[in-house]
Amino acid sequence: MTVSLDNGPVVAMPAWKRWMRSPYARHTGFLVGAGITVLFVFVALIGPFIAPYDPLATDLQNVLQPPGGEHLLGTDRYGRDIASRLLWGAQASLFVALAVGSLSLLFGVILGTLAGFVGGWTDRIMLAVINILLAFPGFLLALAFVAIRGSTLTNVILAVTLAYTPRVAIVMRAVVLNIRPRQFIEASFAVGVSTPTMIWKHVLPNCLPPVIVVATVSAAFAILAEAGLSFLGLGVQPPAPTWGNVITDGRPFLISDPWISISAGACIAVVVTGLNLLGDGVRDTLDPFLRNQTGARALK
Amino acid sequence: MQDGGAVPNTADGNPSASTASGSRLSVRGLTVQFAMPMGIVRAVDNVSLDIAQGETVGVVGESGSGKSVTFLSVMGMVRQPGRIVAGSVELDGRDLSQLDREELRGIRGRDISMVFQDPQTSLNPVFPIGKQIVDVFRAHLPISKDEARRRALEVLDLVHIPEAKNRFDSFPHEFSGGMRQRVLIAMALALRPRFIIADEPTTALDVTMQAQILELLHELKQEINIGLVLITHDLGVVARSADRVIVMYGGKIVEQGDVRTIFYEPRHPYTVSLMRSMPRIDMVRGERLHSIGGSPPSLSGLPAGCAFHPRCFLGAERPKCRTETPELHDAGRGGHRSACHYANELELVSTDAPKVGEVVARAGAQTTGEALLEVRDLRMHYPAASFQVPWNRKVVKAVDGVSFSVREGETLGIVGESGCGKSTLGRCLIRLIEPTSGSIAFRGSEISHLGVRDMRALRTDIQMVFQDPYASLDPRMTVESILREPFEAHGQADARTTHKIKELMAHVGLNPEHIERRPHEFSGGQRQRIGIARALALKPKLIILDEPVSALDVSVQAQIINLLKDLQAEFKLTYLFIAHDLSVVRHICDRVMVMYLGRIIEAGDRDTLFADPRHPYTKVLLSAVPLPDPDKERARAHVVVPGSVPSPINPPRGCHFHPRCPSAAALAGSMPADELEQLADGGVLPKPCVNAYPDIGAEADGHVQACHFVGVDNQNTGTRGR
Repeated sequence: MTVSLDNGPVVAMPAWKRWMRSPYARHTGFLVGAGITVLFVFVALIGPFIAPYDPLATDLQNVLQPPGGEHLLGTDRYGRDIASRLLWGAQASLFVALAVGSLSLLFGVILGTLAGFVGGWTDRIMLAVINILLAFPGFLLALAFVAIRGSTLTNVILAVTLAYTPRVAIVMRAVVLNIRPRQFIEASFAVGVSTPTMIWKHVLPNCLPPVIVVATVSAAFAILAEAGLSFLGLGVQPPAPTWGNVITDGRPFLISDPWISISAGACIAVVVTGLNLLGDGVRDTLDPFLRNQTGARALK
Repeated sequence: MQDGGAVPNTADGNPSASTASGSRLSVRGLTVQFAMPMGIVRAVDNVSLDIAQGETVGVVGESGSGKSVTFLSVMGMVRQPGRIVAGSVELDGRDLSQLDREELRGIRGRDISMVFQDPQTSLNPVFPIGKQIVDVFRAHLPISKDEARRRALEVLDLVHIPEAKNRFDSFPHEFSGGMRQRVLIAMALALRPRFIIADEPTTALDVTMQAQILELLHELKQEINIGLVLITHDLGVVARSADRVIVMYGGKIVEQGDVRTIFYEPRHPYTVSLMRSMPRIDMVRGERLHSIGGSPPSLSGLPAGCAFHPRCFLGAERPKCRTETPELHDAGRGGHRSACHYANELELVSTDAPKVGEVVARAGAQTTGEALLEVRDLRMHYPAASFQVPWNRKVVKAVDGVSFSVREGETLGIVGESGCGKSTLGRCLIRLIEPTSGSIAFRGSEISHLGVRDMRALRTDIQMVFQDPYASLDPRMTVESILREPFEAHGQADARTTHKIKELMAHVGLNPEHIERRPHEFSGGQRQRIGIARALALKPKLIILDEPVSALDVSVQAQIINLLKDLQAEFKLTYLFIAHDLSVVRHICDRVMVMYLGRIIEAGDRDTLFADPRHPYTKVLLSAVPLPDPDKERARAHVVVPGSVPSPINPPRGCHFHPRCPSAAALAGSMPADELEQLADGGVLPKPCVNAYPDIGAEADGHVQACHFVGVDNQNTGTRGR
């Protein structure tokens, strides 16, 4: 029996060192995005504990205070502390983002896999439905849903999920169609692997990276949509502290006291940018096919 | 070579080419480095070579030997992160490596041009081929469109594109692979360059196409006095076409010399090993192939000293080979040079060069077993497109009425060119694809109608090894999870599975300690070993091997073939070996079936079939495979058939092979007119060939074939036609 020599790379270094060498550590966008996202999650979790005031407590002696002094970001027209409202609001935003991200991921993956893997008429019908849903602007779809079902946090989440599931599904379907004819799928069938196992062990792990990226974008969109719906008065009802409600509260005073809307708007902008950067970074680096072959090709 | 005679250079504004003695391309001390994430990689290391106008130089090497990069550098086409760090490339004394981009552009195509490996991707799909050739002229010469068109037609004629005028405005997808390669050669020839660099020009082509292209290159070299560089991994191609040979390994030239010297008196152990490890179509080399251990080194981790020493049968143990890098030195007559410290010792080593007609008898092949697999009239038809109007349905008859049996313990080879249905057949047998009709019986019980569950159970008995070791393993899984999968799929996973997996790995020559590694950490040969281990896991009776070695380097190919033979003996396996490489089939198979357009056209015992092919197509196939033996190869008669394999959507009426059949064409000349059929294109052929599909007959010795006129031999086989 011939014993082959081995010249594969030897992997034996501490985890942090390997991470430092990984493409993530060299991707500025990813690092910034990940930083913002981690900060956001952290703030959302501890916000209620570090908030200096009760976000609902009105203080009619101190309405429309400018930033600085006792109130870090000033107060609104009922004298509520903006900083506290934002800290509490982060929670709602995080909840909406997480819920929409994971729900649209879950439904999108299920639908996309079904369409891509089963194929045939299942695929054609599902594709038609998905395309019809995609034809509506996401926000409009969410708006219609909330207008019919009433404006609660749950409904906002469901509405944005409805708008974003088709996006995840269509990406998932495309990736599944790309993975399904690969030889390793055929090889696993040949050893007798059943279809559910196949999907679970081969198709999903190979398809998820691009889909997760879409899901992070849908999470970012969820934050925006929640704010947008609140702004229109269709989101979480006031006086609940959400970023969208804070913007709405500041609307009459945009000229005279702009800090109210600006501070909330800045929070949204930063978090959404962070999530998008994170998604892009993951997309740029996650694909093992791209990463391992570029070097080898140049040397053909 | 440099006869200095008429350089048939038309007034192409290429005056330097008409200098009397012919030009010379000289590379001196060329070193090319790539800045990679893992460090500096030296892809070409101090390479010096000369090519004269009018000669063909074969450049041989395995993947990563630096052969392509060397000639890309000559063309000034090495891109970032690559860089020429030392050396010069001189064309008649002019150093090309010092030229700026504009000046180089003037050289490319005009003085030196290149033909690439893949004719599918080297032509722009959105422009007609004529326009693409016209562009070559217009980029270099100040001539009118009409003039360029006239000249483009000229070069298309030169490469024998039939009816070039009518096909001038055809798009690349309207041509077959071989025809596209002709178009590319026409583009390379357009400006009558003095040198053409052909990088694996026939690797992507079928063997009959390869024969056509080699024939064409040979013809062109004689007609228009070009210096041809033929980069290839196939020693047969070199033996057939080259005047001189350069062997590369690890970025260096390890041996160079006249083609006969290299083949008959090699003075480098790598060359010797390469020759020995190649299976040959004209003989069987005992039971085992010589194999070079290990795999071609990656350029980023070249061994110190002589790069070949870890795999060398001479130098593995010698300190000098480990520490001192050998330089090229004279090793014999006529510029024969070798880079081996111990080149002299090789005089005593036989290259295993075979005598003409030598056939080693097989050592007791087990072809007497009973039928393990019986296939009757199997058909696999699928629609040619997904949306078709009901009144014009087109069907691809990938497999069209195939019957055969596989006996226990034997290796049955299925050979044929691309599109003949051999892979589809293999997949039908284990029902990765559902056959349209026909019966498949495994050990006497019908399996073509088994339900999903029963079929899964049967997969413990029939397994498959796939062609592409890079694509057939899930990149995200470790070796352990890949090999655990078959056990889990059949509920056999238990505490001992990890142990079994390690045993399996040891069996196929993998280090069991690498169980946690992922596929990308292995070389191609090692990955194919993983694929074989996966097929072996459930102890199957029958393994379908779908081109298991075609993606591997020659030296690694020999290892895998030997491994397959060892495993067969050890586990009493039966193989169905699907391949396009007839030499490999000759080596490993007991019986062989030849397929053409979905049907079996000849089948028989290996030695009988290879020694006495009866169907004209089999004869053509066999003669198209170049032998790695220059004298024998050049003395041999070549039957080169025109055209390419027709589309299985609309196979020719009657005998599928009749439009290309040299025998039918020759027979037609000697037959009375009432037995001939007039064809649409004006030719005449015997009536039966055009009208009836010949039944595959049965003969006493088990050698069957499907030709109406077998035995009616003709003189055509001796001609060297296009």
